[in-house]
Amino acid sequence: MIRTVHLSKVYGKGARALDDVSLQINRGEFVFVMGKSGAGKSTLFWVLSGQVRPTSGSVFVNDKSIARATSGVIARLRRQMGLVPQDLKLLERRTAYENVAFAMQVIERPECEIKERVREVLAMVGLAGREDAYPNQLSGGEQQRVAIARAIVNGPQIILADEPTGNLDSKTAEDILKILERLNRKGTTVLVATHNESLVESRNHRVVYLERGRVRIDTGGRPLWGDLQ
Amino acid sequence: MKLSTFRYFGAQAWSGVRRNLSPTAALVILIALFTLGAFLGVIRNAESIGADLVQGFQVVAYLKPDASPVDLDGAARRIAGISGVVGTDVRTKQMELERLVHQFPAYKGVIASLPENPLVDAIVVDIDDPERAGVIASLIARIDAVDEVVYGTLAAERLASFARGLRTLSLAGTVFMVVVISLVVGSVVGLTIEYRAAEIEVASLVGATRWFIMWPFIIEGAILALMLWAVGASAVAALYLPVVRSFQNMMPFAAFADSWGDVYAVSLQLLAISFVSFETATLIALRRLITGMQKG
Repeated sequence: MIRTVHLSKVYGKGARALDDVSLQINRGEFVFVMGKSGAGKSTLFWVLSGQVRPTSGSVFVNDKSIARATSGVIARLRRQMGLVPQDLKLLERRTAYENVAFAMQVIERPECEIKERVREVLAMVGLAGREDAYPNQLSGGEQQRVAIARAIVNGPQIILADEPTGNLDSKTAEDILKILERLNRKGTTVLVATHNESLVESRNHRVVYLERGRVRIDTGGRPLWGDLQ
Repeated sequence: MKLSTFRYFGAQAWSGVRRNLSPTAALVILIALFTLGAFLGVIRNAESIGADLVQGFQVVAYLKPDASPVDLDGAARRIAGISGVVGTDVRTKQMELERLVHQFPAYKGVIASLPENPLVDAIVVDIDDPERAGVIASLIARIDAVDEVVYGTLAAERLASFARGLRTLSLAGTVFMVVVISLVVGSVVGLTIEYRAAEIEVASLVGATRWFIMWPFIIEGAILALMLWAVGASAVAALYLPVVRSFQNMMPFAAFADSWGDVYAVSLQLLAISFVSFETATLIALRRLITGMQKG
């Protein structure tokens, strides 16, 4: 599903964000990408979603190379991916409903389908009744749910969630992860970047630990929490 | 493209126009469009006058006093064969004398009392390009029967240089105005782009194509071009004929472009230039945004 081969990314004059990263993530996996700030988690997600071109190495998503892909190929790829950016990128002048609907409008889904699907997805993430609220009227956890709803509304095969639990209390963080796990159980491949060790500790998911752009540990499907200490 | 998508594009474009077209920006664009229209009018009239003068430009070959009618015919045939000659008009010395009598009837008696016709046969030569007058004149001068060739050297050079200068100046003015318009439009569309930057970024993240992102801005550029052109072109159209006709009154010999057809032509040129410059500015501003969205 996702494969990176000797992937490296160097910003500007020598700031190496990713260094020879080779990973294989299979369909239906749930992977935590861990590491301290600046370890390269966000850069990895940006490369996987075509927001950043790698300096060297290859990236394949569904066997399609995206390292040098055109903007049209990247656009089609992103329709198969649900992105939850670290800063959420909710549109302040749009309601929760409109934020989610926007993801369907831009890929020209019919209006009737949008109405039905958006309400369904908002209910799925626990925001039924909050459709008309603007982002500034929502709590941090609710905003995170809107971002997740927007990411999943087009039924993606892959979800890339960059620090979806950052700045949330432990109960809300737990709820957010449960939503992502529920989607994973339905077959969606989920990658979650986090530095929240307690959340990872309590789960049996694969962990890829990045340090200064390199993969220090990859549990390869087994929870190997002890190695990270 | 689906109707709902087109409606979405139209709504986005119209709200962009309403939100970002400040009175100052509109005024600057209108003044620039009006000035541009004036330049286009100058170019059109310069070309009209130039074409008329060029059409009427002539070289005159005077034959030797002892040239026979056979020499005259032969010279006329050879002149007609020179490249750049578009017509010849043979004027015998008798015809020239009659023309003199016709022009100065008071001297009819004096002219009639002359022992013999003092004039010579002449061939009036029409040429296609005043700039080639010197070359054609030198070729005509080589013909045996030809005594002297006369053409307005200074007039030809000045005419050519005046037409070139006016056209160059007006073209430079047109380019300058296009740059001014593009800069102002670029800043107006830039405001929309800035206002909608977050939306564009999200659209891109959820899989919108580049064209889906660009269409509302392209439509916004077209709406701006059409609206401001309508006002600017109306002003140009209202003033064009009165101004040109006042010049025509001062210089009745010059062939000004003073018909409604000329007004339409200038308006259409203005429309085409408006569209091109508005859309170019829009695409440049968008390209800058999309390139800037790339994280590294």
